[in-house]
Formats: sequence, C-alpha cells, structure tokens
Amino acid sequence: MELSGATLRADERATIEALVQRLHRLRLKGDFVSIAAMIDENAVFEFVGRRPFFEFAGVYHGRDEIVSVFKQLNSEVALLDAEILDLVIEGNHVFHRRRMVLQHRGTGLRAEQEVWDVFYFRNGLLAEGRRLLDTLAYERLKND
Amino acid sequence: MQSSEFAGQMAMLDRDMIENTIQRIHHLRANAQFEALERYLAPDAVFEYVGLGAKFPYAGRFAGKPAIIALYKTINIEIEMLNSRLVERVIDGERAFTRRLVDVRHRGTGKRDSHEIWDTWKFRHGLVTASVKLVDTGAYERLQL
Repeated sequence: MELSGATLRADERATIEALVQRLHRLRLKGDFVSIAAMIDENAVFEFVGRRPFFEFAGVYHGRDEIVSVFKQLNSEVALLDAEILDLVIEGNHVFHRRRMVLQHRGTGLRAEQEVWDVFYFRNGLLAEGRRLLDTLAYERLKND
Repeated sequence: MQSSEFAGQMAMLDRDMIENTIQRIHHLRANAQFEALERYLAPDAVFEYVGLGAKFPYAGRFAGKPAIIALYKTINIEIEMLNSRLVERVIDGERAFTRRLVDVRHRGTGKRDSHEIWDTWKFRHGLVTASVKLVDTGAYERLQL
C-alpha cells in the first residue's frame, strides 16, 4: 500500500473516518448491497492466515469476489455486535481495530474476538484491504 | 504564529521520529537487545498481546518497563526471532499502526514459521506509552506441534 505521507486536513480526515464508520454500521446491519457500493470495482482484499488452518485465508480480487467472501463468512458466522476500539488515519490509509461478538450458525458457539483491518481508499471507495484475526479462535467456533 | 508550511515540516519530523523509533524497537527485539530497547519505553508503558489466552501464554496486559522486558525475555527463551521486516505503517500524530512479517523458530520443537504480527503504538514525548499486538495464535500453535 502506498503512503501519502501528507498531513491530513481536518475535513479530509473526517471524510475518511465517516467512510470507515459507515462500513462498520453497514456490516453490523448485514447490508452487503450498500457495502458493495463502497468498494472499488478492482479492489483487492486479503485475509491473512494460512489454509487449511483458516479456510478464508487468501487474496480476493474485485468487488464481486470480495463481497462474495464476506457473504460466505456471514452465512457461517453471525456478527452479533461490534465495537470500534481504535482508528489510525494517515491520508487515505486507515488502520481499524474492532472487537466483535460472533456466533457460529451451525454450532451456536459464541466468542468475542478482535478483528484488525487496514484499508486504503481511492476516490472515496475501498481500494485495498487486509484483515488479521486470531484464526485459531475463529476455527474454535466450529467445534470447541 | 507558525506558518502552515512550518507546521507541516514539524509534523513530518515527528512522523519520521516515530517511524525510526518503531524500526529501532523491532530491530532490537529481533536481536534480543532488550536493555537497549528499554530506553524507548515510557516508565508507565503498557503492552498488550491479544490472542486466545488458553492457547497463547503471552496473551494479556504487561504494565511498566520491567514487566515488558521480562515478557520479551520469556518469549525469547521459547521462540527465536530469525527475521523481522516492517511492511506497512500508518502514522497519525502520536499514534501508529505497523504490520510486520516475522520468521521465527521454536527452540523446543525446532519448527520454523513465517507469519504476520500487527502492532498499534502510542507515543508521548518520543517514548512508547502503549502498544497492542495481535498475533494469530494459530501460527503459534503450528510452532509447537
């Protein structure tokens, strides 16, 4: 990801923060149609981790593929609640730390875990993203 | 009154200082130079490792320089850091996020693994006051098996 290195003006910073807050609210509502509208057609998103230990690990190319993997995740695990713990913003580059309450739709197991994202926006759309979570904690939702 | 150009230059200086300090801490950590690393920590610094506590014995909060250095030394007894490379950073005033790729080896099993560690940082007067680290405990478990 490229760094702008520029000092953000307050209004530019507010714009980027509003985009992240909106993505967060839409994800809580499960509104994937509106989320898709905030993703660049050629965006790239990576789930950090290693297969087969974490089935979603890998790089996803393009809006459709990214939305598809988020829907697949949502069909497996319900997001019951989420809270933003930290936002670090430099230009269009954002680090986003959240605590999520997740429930596996099959096993019914619940867990609270942190999910960390780093985003890069271009022209108001999500152009690049990368996510790190504790994959062992995630996998344990399937079978404690 | 400072000109906006001057203010911008000062912000860049601060940014460079923060980036250099984080690079230095990672370098000292990778080379097990813990006494030198201590100089970059505020006396009341708090470090936290996020992770599944039952599977990751280092998960939790460590408050104060002695506790943080003791933690690093304990981890170093079990895991050897072979390489640490900073691949991404976001710096926002006195707060920062970094992403690094590490190559590690478990001293007991001899197993090696490459994985990512993500860190957040808070600074005050050039010293680290807080850092939170997210480690995938799945990667830690692979080292032990």
